[in-house]
Amino acid sequence: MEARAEGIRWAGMAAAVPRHTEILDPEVFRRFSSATGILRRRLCPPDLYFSDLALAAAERLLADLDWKKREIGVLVVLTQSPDLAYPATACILQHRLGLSTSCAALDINLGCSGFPYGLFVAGRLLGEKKGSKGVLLIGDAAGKPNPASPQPPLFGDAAAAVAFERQEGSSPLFFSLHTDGSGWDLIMERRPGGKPGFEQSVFSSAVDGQGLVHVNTQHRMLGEDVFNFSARTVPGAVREALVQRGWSADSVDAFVFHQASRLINENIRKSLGLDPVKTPCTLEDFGNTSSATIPLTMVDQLGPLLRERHLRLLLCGFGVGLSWGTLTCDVGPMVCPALVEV
Amino acid sequence: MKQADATSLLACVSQSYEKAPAGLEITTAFRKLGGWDSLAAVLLVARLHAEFGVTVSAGELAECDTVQDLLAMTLKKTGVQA
Repeated sequence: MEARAEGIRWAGMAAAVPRHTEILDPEVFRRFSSATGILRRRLCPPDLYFSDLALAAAERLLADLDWKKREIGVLVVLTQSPDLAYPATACILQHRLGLSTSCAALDINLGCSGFPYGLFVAGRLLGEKKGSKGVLLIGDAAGKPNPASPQPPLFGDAAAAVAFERQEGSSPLFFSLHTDGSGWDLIMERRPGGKPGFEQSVFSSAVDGQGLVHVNTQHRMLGEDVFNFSARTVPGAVREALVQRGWSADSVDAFVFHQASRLINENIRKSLGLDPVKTPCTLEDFGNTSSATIPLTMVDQLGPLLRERHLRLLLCGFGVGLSWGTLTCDVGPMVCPALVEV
Repeated sequence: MKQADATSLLACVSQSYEKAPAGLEITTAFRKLGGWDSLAAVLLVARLHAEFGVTVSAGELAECDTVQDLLAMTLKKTGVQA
């Protein structure tokens, strides 16, 4: 699906990460770090959640924008780390942020492709009246340790907030969104009571020191086929996006890709013949932060530029679903505070 | 892209382990050697893609018992008679 969004001004963005840093032991993780590019990652302690990171990013951004909470008419929360099965985390964050009850709030369940999807949906929900305002909160706490189900240290925790408003004459945003559900089982996590069934034979649980139950959620990732998927779809999607806009690769200031792993991202970069200077990377410091990788990379690597000047960007998210999407935009200068630590 | 042969395939497989295993030969059941893990499988698939331009799925890799099997599949995918 290709779409052009008119009259939406990207007013600002912020990102928040936990203060706690896990440094990967080079003796133990030499090969893993070489393949993934990850040396460190931020992890939520037991009492910190994605929603808390999202709240912190939103509060900082709205304060810096000097926006009134009651003016925000749209709140979209895109995460695979919701507080609860239901209600939507967006409802809870509407309350915690002190937004008006006239605000439309909803969750979207997507991962690595989430940023272009989230911004597209949020933009579509935006009121027609001049000055209508909306916020997208996006990210995951997928790296948060689970004593019942230790995982390789691929994922880190992060959230980001994007603020946008109706303003005629704003530079249009171009989206191209795709799905291939035949790959649904390449990256997946089961749910008790869900489909396919939650198997007793591989189920495990643990109770921590605070009496909280942790379960093995039977997360699965078929790395070989995820690599193949990214190699097969992403370069073509980027080329199509450039054609869609009539842009040359040279005219783009930065290509911000979902930060999957060094293996995947370097293969994409080389396939497209892109200069590393134009493909900012945050794998080393933050790992794979799921749907937050694109905005986190923008804030962490392009923040000073975004604050000062216009940038021509091509953003591309890809992964779980299988799902992928591109967003091409001319943005900035915008409000973009330094990384928030919680 | 270079042409796959026994030497280059053995190198690809060998370099995917944490430590290059002793005694790896064309007839070795490489996934049964100590040190083979899920990361090795991903690294191997990525190497095959980078060096020979072939896409090998997880399922296809699982069907290859020996390096010889892997070579035959790689050559078939590149349209070369084994």
